[in-house]
Amino acid sequence: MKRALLRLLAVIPVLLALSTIVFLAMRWIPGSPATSLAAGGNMNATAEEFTQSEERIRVALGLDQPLWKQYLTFLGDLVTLDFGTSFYGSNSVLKLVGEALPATIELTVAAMLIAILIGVVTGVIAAWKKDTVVDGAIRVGATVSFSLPWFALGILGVVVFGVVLGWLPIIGRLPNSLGYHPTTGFVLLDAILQNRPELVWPWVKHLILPATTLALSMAGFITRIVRTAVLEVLGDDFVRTARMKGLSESAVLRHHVLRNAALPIVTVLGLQFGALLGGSLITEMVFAYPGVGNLLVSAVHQRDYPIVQGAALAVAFLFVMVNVVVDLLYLVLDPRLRKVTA
Amino acid sequence: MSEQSALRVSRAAAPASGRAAALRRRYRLLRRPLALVSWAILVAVLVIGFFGPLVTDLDPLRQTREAFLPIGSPGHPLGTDDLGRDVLARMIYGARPLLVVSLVATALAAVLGIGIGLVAGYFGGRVDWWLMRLIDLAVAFPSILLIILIVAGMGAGETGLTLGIGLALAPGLARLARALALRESAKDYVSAAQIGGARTPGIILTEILPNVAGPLLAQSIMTLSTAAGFAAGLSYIGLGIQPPTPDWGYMVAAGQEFLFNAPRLVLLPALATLVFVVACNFVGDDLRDVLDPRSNR
Repeated sequence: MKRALLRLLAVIPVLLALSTIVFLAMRWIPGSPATSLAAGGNMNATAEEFTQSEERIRVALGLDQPLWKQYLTFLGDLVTLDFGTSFYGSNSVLKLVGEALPATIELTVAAMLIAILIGVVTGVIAAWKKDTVVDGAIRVGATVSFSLPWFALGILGVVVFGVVLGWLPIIGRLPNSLGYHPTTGFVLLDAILQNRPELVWPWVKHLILPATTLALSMAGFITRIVRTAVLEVLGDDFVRTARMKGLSESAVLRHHVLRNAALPIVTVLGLQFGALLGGSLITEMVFAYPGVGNLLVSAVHQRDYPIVQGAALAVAFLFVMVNVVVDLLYLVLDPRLRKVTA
Repeated sequence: MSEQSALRVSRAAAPASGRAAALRRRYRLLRRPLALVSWAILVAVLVIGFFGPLVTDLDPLRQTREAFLPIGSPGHPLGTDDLGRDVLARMIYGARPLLVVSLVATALAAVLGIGIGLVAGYFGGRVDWWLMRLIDLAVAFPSILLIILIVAGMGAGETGLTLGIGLALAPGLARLARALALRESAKDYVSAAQIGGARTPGIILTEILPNVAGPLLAQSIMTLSTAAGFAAGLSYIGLGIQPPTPDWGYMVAAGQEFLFNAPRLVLLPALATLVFVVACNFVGDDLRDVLDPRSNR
């Protein structure tokens, strides 16, 4: 319990440091966002108009204040969840990020589930067929898997399953014709809450390609870990005992082997979540999937700095929180850790 | 970064036994042809990327009225794109930006990461603690987000992209270098050099570095594969090499509009990127077997 609390407290300095980096990155932009914004806004503006609009933006952004003052304002806004409004249109950043974040979480979680499924199955098969061609092929496949560039893989999926075979949709999250109005932003939850089961299947169909694209780059790690963990555990006494008790092979596998392999799997999931989240930023672009990645990248292109800042903070915070959850999961999965004092 | 940490986890957990050795042999037999093919691909892409533009008289920027010519058209072996530009020429010219960005970024990551890691591992104590907290901080961001932030700060283009990828990939190498330096500094030859009055930078560079260069070089090559993936991915989302300069990642993005009419416009650069990145990874794997025999894989 004490360990869990300490872990939660350790989040505060990390979050503070992350926010500071995002804050500085946004202010160290050459020529200041105001200049580029003024320049981008109107190509035909005269020098005078240009200076005026630049000044207006500087004041709007609070860039005329000294840096420490900007920083304090920034921290205050952060605590009150006030991230400002988009430069274009009047949408608040909180609203835009809040709408996009569930989509990204759905994508990442779906990818993770697919990766676990592929990884555990191939890892167990590789361990079971140790020293055979099957084992070797799976290991080579795993090596290929974790170097795959997401966007190229995604494009191949689009061409094969979307264009040539025409099985799966290649763009977006849900067809507009369905008239989806988010309550929580999570489609599955909303389908239950709003009693609209017809949302589920189109949603799944839209998720398959992007989630699998992401999952493939991660599955190889899980395959490796599962294979090693299973091989290691297979020789242990408790597995021999379980077999001697007359348990079937699949029962031994489920109750004894995989349970003990769970810890390294969780470790990899934690380590890989960042890569997955990062990958989703690019994968979303391939599929025009309306998540944080799409929002962030479009904002970078449009130099919409409040959104860049808000989206970056959201992704970074999500990442930190997942790492915390992973650490807490350790405590659940490995009772030995609970006794050790920090 | 996180990728590499995970690799180390799996390596540390690998059992070392006679059976494992037998398995490794069999596994290697399977991997060897792949490694050879990968070496060939890597060399081919390097040669095409750096020397292709010098020997070909095709122009990747010249627009013609003959848009969307199919593969095998006279004068345009790979056809033309939506603006009637020669696709073969664009493929040849498009390799270079990817190569330059990923090679320079990897070199940057190696110099920075290995430098920090060696210093931290050699000095230990407070220096080590602070340097490792710095690394932790860099790792607290997903790599892609870190790169996007740096590119957003510096403006889209090769410079920002290279710097971003270099910084994002340095932590993985720093951690490895630190672990190796920590192990080496406890050894007698380092004590001997210290007692002999050698200066600290000399000890780190001429005593420790040569002894840990193998694994570090192998890991750097693995990093090249990650760097290439990032470089292509960020160019694809428009934050890397800016048009009209041809680049594989950007070509995919530009071709996506014509997915149904001319899928080859995205397939060719996407496949080229995929094959190149995977080849880099196999080459790194192969090099590690040679350079880092202790790695228990």
